[in-house]
Amino acid sequence: MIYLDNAATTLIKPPRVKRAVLEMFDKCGNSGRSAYESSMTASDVIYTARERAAKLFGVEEPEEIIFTSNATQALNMAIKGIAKKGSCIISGYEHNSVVRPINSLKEKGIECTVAKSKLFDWNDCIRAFRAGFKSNTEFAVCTHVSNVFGYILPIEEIDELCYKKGIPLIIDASQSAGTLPVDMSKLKAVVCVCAPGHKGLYGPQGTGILVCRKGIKLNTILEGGTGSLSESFTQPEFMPDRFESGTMNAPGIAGLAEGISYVLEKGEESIFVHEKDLIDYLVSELSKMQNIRIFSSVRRKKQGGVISFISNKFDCEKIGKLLSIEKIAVRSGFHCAPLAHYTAGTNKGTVRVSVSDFTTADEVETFLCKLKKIIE
Amino acid sequence: MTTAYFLCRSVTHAQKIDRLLKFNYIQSSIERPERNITQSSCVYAVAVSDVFLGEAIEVLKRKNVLPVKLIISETGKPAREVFI
Repeated sequence: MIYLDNAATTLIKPPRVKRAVLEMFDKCGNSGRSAYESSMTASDVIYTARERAAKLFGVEEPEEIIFTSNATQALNMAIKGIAKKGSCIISGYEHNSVVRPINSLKEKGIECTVAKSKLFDWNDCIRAFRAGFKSNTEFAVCTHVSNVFGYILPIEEIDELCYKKGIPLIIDASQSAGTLPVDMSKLKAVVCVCAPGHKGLYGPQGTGILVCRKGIKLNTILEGGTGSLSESFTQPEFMPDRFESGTMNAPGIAGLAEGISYVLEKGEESIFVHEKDLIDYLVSELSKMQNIRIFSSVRRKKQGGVISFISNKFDCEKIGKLLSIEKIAVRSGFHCAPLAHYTAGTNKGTVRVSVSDFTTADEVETFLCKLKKIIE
Repeated sequence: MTTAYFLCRSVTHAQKIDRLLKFNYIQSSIERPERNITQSSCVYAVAVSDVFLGEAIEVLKRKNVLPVKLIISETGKPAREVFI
């Protein structure tokens, strides 16, 4: 199978990731519950993962790293943790993991403004955010890279806007972590960054990260045993325990630690260049095909390792099915991001192709050949 | 024998102190001491020989990574708190 659905999850991982997970299966007890060897083994591997993640995201303290089960959980924790009253603002390209928790807050009277803007248009995006701020805007959420179109939003400029307004910003780094720098030491308004462990960080499924800037007080949405302050009936105030209740996924986090290590060693820029080159080639070849409309940026720096297209010959679901028969994995439909589709005008969905550091030029070439046979 | 225990709020806090000390070549270990030392349950502590205590305190102060409490335990004597 040729796997081109890395925006859903990366299928091919560095071998060290699997080794780390398997090794932990036999060695790890429950972190933070005792001081015997297997408990401390789990604690040690989790702390190492925190250190590496802190380095990747530009935070000083490992305690600013909170492990979650995925980016969706991280986003729910950040959004529901920060929301109190008033309103919020989001970009027009948000995933349902942002839109749905925000919609659920409407019952509490929290309104949402969508800063809709044209695809791949940074000026329009900044204008939309600027126009969308209200006097009672409490927080902002912005995806770094659209999971549908690969559109890299101008988060540095949005961060600057939010900073001037005194509005905390939450970044969804689901499609950027591991390929684009998300450096909290350089971002002033950003209070939280949310990322999955199983996409660009090459960790196992069931892992995610919430980076919560030191000093930011978020309400909790999950309370329970933390292994600390055990005689207390209330959740600890200090990090990361405040947000890590219950047994941690130590084998998964061990794998994630190795995935992050891979990214740190290889370098985000190197990974991005590899993915970008593949996408650039895809864009140039898809442009030559009849019956295809691709959604790509003329300015290549505005697009990551994801691209969407539609065809006037078949609907996107049929194309996806026909490619699947040819053993090519892509994702068709709305990609859990109806807002992004409605903003861009792709109201019937798209076929999405997404690459990783392990995708080869041969695989892309084979995909193009198979697609051409289907479409033309 | 005299052992110093840096009492911590969590295992993560203990690991931070332990790694910082080890990085500075100070021998340390993470333990769950008995109640007569911690006065509480489920407490992680970083144990350091009293020989290295002064140096350990200096390192922790310099890096602003402070324990919840410092308890000194001497054989045959009750544990006592020392204020850093």
